[in-house]
Amino acid sequence: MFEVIVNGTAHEVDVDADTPLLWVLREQLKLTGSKYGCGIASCGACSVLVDGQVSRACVTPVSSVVGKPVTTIEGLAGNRYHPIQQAWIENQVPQCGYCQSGQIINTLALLNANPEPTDADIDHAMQGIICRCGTYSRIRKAIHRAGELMREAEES
Amino acid sequence: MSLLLSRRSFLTLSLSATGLYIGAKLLGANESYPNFSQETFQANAWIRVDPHNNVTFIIDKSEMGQGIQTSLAMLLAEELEVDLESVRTEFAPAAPIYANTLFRVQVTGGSTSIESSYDNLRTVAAATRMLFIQAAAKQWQLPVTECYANQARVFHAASNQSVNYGDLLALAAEESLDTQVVLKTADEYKILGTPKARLDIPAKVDGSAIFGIDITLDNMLNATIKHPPVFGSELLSFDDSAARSIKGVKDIFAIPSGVVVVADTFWHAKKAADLLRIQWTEGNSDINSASIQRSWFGHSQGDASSVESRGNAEDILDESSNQLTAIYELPYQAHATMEPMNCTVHLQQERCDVWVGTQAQGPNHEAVVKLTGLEHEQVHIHTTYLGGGFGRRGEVDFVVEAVQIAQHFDVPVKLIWSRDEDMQHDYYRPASYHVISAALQTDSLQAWRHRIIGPSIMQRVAPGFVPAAMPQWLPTGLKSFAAWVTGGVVSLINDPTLIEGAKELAYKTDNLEIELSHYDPGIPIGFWRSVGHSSNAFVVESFIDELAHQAEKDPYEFRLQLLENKPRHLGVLNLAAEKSGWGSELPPGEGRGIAVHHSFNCYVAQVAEVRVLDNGRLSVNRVVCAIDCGAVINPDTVVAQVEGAIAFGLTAAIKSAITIKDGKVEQSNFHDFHLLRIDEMPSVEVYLIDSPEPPTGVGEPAVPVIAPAVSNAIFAASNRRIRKLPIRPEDLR
Repeated sequence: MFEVIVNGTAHEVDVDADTPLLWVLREQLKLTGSKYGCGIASCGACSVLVDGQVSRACVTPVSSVVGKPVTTIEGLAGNRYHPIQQAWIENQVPQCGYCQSGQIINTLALLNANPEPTDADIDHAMQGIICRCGTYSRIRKAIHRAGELMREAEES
Repeated sequence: MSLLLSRRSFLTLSLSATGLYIGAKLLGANESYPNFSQETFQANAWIRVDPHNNVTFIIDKSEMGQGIQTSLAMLLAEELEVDLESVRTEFAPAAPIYANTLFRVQVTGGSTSIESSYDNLRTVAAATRMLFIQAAAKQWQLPVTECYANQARVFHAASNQSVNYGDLLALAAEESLDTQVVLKTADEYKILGTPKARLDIPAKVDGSAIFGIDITLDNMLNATIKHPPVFGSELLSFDDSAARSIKGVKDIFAIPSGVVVVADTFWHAKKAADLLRIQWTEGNSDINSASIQRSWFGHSQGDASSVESRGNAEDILDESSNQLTAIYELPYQAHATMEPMNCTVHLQQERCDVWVGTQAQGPNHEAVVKLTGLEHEQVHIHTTYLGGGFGRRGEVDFVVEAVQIAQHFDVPVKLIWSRDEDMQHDYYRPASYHVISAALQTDSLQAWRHRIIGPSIMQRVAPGFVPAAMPQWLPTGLKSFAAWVTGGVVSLINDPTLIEGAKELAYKTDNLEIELSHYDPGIPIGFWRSVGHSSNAFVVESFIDELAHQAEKDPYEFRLQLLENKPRHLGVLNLAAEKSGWGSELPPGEGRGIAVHHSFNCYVAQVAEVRVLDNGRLSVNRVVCAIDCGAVINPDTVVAQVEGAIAFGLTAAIKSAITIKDGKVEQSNFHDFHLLRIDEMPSVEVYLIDSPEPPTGVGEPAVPVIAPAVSNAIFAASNRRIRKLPIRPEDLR
């Protein structure tokens, strides 16, 4: 049994220690927003935050996240959309949508660390998350916009 | 009741407790489904209006990111006079009424969704609006001509009366249309042609959108499969003793296409599958990319069939003192959808439910009926969102497997392919080899000869091609699809998937010879976003560029002069050139390339700007694209599809290829099949031609243009001519 804290709620899961966090989220907790893309940490579709840091859930054993807060796409919006989600909608970013939870989670980590990223910062932070539909230009615009919205929210 | 809408279509109305259902039946639509009973049409319509005035649109196309859910809802909302935002959408089940009116089978592909729905859907919506107006006029005992509809409500201005559609259901169901349906003209549009927010996007930013892989059912088991790694090989035996020691494993067995592990969770199934020790027959282990290339060369020397011929290209080329010949090569390409293939099936005594992100409800329906022996009405295909399609999800292979697995269990089973299986068992974009020659006379193109050597997709897909090779479950609906693709007469020579984009050369020449030499090394091939155009446009548009340089002409002006009688080609070419600042100076090491191509009834020109460094590093900085897709439904969707198509085409041009070693695909995941990343995405500008022509699809037509635009830009930047894709740094050093 492992205790995982996902989006502020603690869950007891009965799985092997080597079970990747991704499959705990998807199969045990039925949180299917984090996606399986490659299984080898090379596409980023499974990205979640563990203790505020981006983690590739497909290669993160559940035993390594015990007691650490995990944030998934389902944990982003409260009563209203998170500024990143707002910016994503404003810029009509997703196409098929499959990679977008990963894109949004990585953006959250980026903006938390660097509220006003340059294009080069965005390239560096987002280089690992593949979008086969090619929504990259819109992701870039939406990240700049989300930064603005987050700064506005902080000021008000 | 049914109402005649036009010579070829009927409107069908049926009233039930849950609302009024409105559908249309197109004559001939059920031809490929002889077993389907007439009654089912009634319950499966396009529009449902309920007593609470909710309008539900049952969408008969698959949403794979191309925005079709929204674009079709826009067509409907415009003529039905309802707010787009208020329209609820559901994905249609598999049923004959939803057959693609061009393919005659329920398939989303070929950039046909808008073209095939444009008139039908608007007509049905307009007729429905007219029925509600008539019903209200009758209730009020006022002339129909004084009433109008807006926001799902009928109004009579003079008497200040209005009534919701939802309150008119019973009356409307009794109405008949005694006047012709008149569609709005473009100047009357309130919705069409204006950018609309996509209906699917909110669910795609909060993780709630359900893809096939997300289906979760009570008591559901999870399965995964190991296919024979070498093409053409078969199972000899397997040792599952280690695999069975994994907790949660329920069963391990063979199906015709591989060895399956079924467990409580996918993780357990995958872990166990990796412990299987499987013996396969040798198969076609002698196939290698190098041996394929040798065969290509042989075919380039041997006989070929003529697929298009006029004048006397042969003799002119032989005699010309100003002729050029080049050889071009393109590799196999994987679809690599981000969501690996998956399908969930619950097979019961008298019912089969299938949950799948599919582009091919029709063929899948047929395949499941054949496999299970159930009636069509007992098989229910539930379409989810697709985590990418690009043609891959038009296939039935993974659905067939899921049914074969479900036949072992009473509970639902979800089959998920691992990424490795997805990468190594795709139906790839065919590799091809091209020998192309032209003769120039001053500024004109005196003769053109293009020999294409490659495999035929239709030969695999269409039963009519080679009946003996046809798998037993292959859907009969594909026959009509094949007939549509090939124009009715199915033969190897007119398989457009090999020759499209080459056969109908836009450039003016009196002497033309297009030849085909069919060569299939046995690698599974299929429809890949823009299909044959993806290869042929690269060859034609690169070679035209070579000819321009040979003639010492500007590549843009050279094209203009050879496209004199092609106004829509010229329209996009001029617009792209103008917006890109064609002809203006670029820094040293940078270059600009241009290309234009017509596919799927749509015209696209692109100008690419690239930078080539001494170490061979290439960056594609900017792409300017002009597109003429006829009338525009949702402008922002056109722009998004062009951006995406450029990323897709650029990936194939500069990043990835599928290669074969000892009969198997060498690549297995994203570490060795590289996809374009955000730092490699050029800035893209999209310009739409204002066109009165009917709308066409935009999912594919911008794909074929980017590779030649980039390779022509590389020539401009570095004097290096690219004749083989993908472009590697070593080609540019």
